[in-house]
Amino acid sequence: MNSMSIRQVLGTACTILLANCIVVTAFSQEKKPLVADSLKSKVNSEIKRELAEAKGKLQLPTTDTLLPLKALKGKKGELIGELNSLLSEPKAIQQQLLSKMALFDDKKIVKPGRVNASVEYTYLQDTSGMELGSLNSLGSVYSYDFSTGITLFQLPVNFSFRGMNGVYTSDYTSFNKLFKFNFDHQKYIQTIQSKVADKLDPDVLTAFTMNRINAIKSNYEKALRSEISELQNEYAQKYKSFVALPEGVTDLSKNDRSVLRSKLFAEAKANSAAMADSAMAGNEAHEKRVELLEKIYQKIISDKDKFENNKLVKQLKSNLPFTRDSYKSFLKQPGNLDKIVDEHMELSTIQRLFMNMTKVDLGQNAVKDGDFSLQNVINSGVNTEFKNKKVSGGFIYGRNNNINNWLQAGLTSGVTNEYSSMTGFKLGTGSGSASQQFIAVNFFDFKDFPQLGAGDNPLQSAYMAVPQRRDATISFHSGFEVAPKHKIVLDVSKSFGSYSNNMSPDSQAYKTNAYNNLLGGDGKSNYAAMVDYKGEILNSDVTVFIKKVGLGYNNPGNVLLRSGETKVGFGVVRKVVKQMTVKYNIDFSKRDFDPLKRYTNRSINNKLQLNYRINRNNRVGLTWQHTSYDSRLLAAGESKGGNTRIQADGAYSVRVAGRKVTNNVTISHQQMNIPMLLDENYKSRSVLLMHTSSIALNRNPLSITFLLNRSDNKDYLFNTSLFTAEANYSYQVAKTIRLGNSIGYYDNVGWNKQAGIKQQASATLKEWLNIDVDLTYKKAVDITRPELANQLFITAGMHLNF
Amino acid sequence: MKLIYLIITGLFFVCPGTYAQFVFFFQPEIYGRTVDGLGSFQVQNLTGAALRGQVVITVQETVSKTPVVTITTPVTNIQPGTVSFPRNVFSGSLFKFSSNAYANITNQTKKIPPGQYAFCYQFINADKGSDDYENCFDAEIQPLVPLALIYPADGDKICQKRPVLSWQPPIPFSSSMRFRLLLTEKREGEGVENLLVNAPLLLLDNITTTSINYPSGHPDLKEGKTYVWQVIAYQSNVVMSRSEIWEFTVQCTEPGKQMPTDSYRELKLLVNGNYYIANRALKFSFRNNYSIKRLSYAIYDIGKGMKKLKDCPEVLLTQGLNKVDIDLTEMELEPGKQYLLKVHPFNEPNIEVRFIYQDKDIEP
Repeated sequence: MNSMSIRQVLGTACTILLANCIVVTAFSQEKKPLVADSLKSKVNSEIKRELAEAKGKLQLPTTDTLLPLKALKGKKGELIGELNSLLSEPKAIQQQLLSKMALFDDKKIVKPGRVNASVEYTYLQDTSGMELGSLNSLGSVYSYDFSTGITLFQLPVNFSFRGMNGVYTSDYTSFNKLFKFNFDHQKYIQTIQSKVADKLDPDVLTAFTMNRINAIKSNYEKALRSEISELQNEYAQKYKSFVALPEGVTDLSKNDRSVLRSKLFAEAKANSAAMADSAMAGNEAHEKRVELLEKIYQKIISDKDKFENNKLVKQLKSNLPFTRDSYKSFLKQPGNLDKIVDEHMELSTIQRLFMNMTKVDLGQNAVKDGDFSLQNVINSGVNTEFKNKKVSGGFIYGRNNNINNWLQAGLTSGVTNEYSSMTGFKLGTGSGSASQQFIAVNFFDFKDFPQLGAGDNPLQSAYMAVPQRRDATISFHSGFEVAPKHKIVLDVSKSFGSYSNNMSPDSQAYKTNAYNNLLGGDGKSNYAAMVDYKGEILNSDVTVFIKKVGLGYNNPGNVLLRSGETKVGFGVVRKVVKQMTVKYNIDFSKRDFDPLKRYTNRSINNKLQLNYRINRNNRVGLTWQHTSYDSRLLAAGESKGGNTRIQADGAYSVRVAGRKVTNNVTISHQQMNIPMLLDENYKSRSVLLMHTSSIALNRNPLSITFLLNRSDNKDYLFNTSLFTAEANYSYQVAKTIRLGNSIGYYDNVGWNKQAGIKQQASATLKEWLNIDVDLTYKKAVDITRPELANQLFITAGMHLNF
Repeated sequence: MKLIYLIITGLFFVCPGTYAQFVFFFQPEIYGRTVDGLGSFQVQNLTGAALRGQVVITVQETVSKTPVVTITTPVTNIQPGTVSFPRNVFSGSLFKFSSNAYANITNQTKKIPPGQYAFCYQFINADKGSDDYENCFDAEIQPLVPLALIYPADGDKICQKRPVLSWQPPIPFSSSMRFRLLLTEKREGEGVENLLVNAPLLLLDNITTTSINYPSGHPDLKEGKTYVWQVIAYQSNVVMSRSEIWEFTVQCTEPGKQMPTDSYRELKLLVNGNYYIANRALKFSFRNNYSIKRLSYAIYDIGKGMKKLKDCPEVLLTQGLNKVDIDLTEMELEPGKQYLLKVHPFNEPNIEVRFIYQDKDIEP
């Protein structure tokens, strides 16, 4: 039954995908991009079309495209010769274009890249156990990071291995290591772009089009010349004198009409000056000569217009994909590079395929894929994505690798058990589409493993029993621009899932199980949807969103989604004057926790930020944030609460004895009032004041910081009132060594008054070797809590690059 | 008071009719929130002999009187004494959900929606004729508004090297609730990865308040670096809520602008040219034939009647050829306006270069 239901699920998904695909293809066909169309096919089709056109025009001499050819007085043989010459040249270029160049000359299979390695060591003396609590057996942590970029068959891949000794001293460390193997698509495309730019002269790409235009132009010019010579002959016969024309007047690509005119008539004037004595003002030959030149001028202009307005020429010009200058940015547009590589470059099948593999991740990789997809998840397995002009797709499979031992050690996860493995498919529009759409189906499997229990190690993160179960989500995403600067994103998702072994045919659950109807189902409770608008209205950046997550919606790939919540948000950012920015956000959330809506929570969150920037060194900011709740969390009654934070911060600089002193100030006030279980409210209030001044002495920075915090909390040590004064100076002692010294005084109310030092040293021992050491020591001068009297913190790191 | 009452009810209230030879222990307030949690219970077998049988767990919402789920475990042996019920046995159970809104939501989400519930644990002896035992636990399962981080806001740039970190606790907040906070530097990759594999910069456990001052025993945060942090809330060693993962950057001064990467032309050659365009910096090479330590120069605003500008950055020289960069970004020059650079070399005539100031990013 279970497998059948999955088949149903897949079936439905496929139907939707197919429908989407058809839409996608239809869409992509409709929106054929103009640039970078296949040169080869264009060559052929254009030639064919032109031939047909030319022949058609021979039969219908009234059409104007090849009007100048008509002027050749139907000398058919000559015309065919013309056409042949028109074709023969492009053929040569076509040949040139069709012979492909090898993109990669280097035949090495593996090429090693740079290696980065670093080791870090942290030591913390927490004698009291106050800080680390249940983790206090942990005194020191070492971590390492090794990464390298290698080239395999010219494909750049990054390989990295990161890890640490972890929470456990010896036995169980597997979750603290990350091994990654990633194909670097961006780098690959950049390499190809620069190789193409180096190897393929942009003129070759434009040559064909340019030659066509020139061929047409020369036809016009030929016709023009023959017409002109007819006029010249006519004149010569009548007046027995030949009117010579200056060079280049029949060049139709010359633009400046006034130059043309003056050139032509200079001839006339020169001649008339030479015959000044013999020819009088009333000389007929001279007048006719000027008339003739005027005629010729008009002829040239009209032919020039005809040439420029020729439909074919216009079309060819608009199809010129780029100029020499815009070549590189032309290559950067998606699709163009693919086209050019396909036509002019030689790549192996795999090399070509990887141009469209936008993602190939193996090992433990974080996945972040949108609101109703996977988020804050580390997938241990494979994650691939493919995208070309028409379609994109993705596949992901892996085990869950999310357990954060730092946060979960010694605790049982009661939030929700996590899935054991996951399989996902994605299909959507390609890069050629104006809107971005995809549909994604993810399956999550839950299985029990003995090691998910607490075991013997008290520090191990534990999970509750995990009865076998399969959950799935199907999500549709669509992002499009309704108008320039107005973008809408729509997400809809449905979840379904049930325990695998509750399917005995007599059970009620069998009859109503969630798999049975994927798109129908009881109510809308297992749906989630979101509409998001981003745009510019009245010179302000505006965002609006509405999000609704059904009470029964469950997405194991994004545990932070809150079921039963309806949320509406609005945000605006506006530059009031050149230097002042105002940001305002408000959202309202209403959450029903149970089907009868007896338990609810409403909250309104406001945030206002003002920023006034005078210049780089002087600015003022003001932030106000307020959240209020109104909840029914007990059957008994309503409770209210909220929190408020006001902060003013700024930077200013002053000159002291010719030196610039940069200052930063922050004043903030925070107040919290949270409903508690026992008809009480948890209240806290704190005020913080901080001032830092920095100055450069002999190019070395010196900074002095004061921090004052007044808090009404007296129990938790890291939240009591405190006063801190610290001075910090760092300087270069040798070419390779830099030191940082700091001294400070720390008055922590309720525990100790301490004096402290910090010593930092960083050294570049070799070009490839770097070492940093930080040591912080605090000694109590007035002891209230002896266990926190003296504190030592050491970190040391070594970084290698070669 | 109510809480104590509930716990007493939960732990010790035994349904009438059951003889305490076989007792179930279950904490509904903590484990009653999820279906998986129903398997976290203890059994106490006081009969002195191993018992063979299966456990049937029924959950019912008592206000609306709706049955939610019946879980039947496989038959197993229960040894004498007090033991946690084996998780693998519970995992192999049969789950029968009723057909109503509560049951559907529970089945789909694995979470039991808030309400008043009766959780009944029944031991059915596999030996026919032997006694069955049952304990019921009544409890109100409360909703929990999840933990949410407040400050520093996600993506914020702050100028505090020992910031206050604060969050809104899960609501209703309980005094027995504790927080654990993890903060680390964000290097490569997503926040979730960094929290997992980087050594913690700050790891505080057993926090009782909803904000902390960055402890003075730890080295302060560094300018220009980005940090990720997350907080969890737990109660009786069970994680109740996890916050989202947020990040913030410590940034007190605006990051310096990208400087042009042009080559250094000889200063004297700049004089011959037309207007020199200085994008954020004046770059030239300069031969120092004497042991002069500092470049003697001044910049004048041509548009303001050759007003001499104050606070020109100091340029240190070594003997021989120097590559000089004069950073103009801090001098409040106006882009597009004309300025004059006057250099006074020792024992040589002054060199004057007119330039136009520009403030543009360079395309890579």
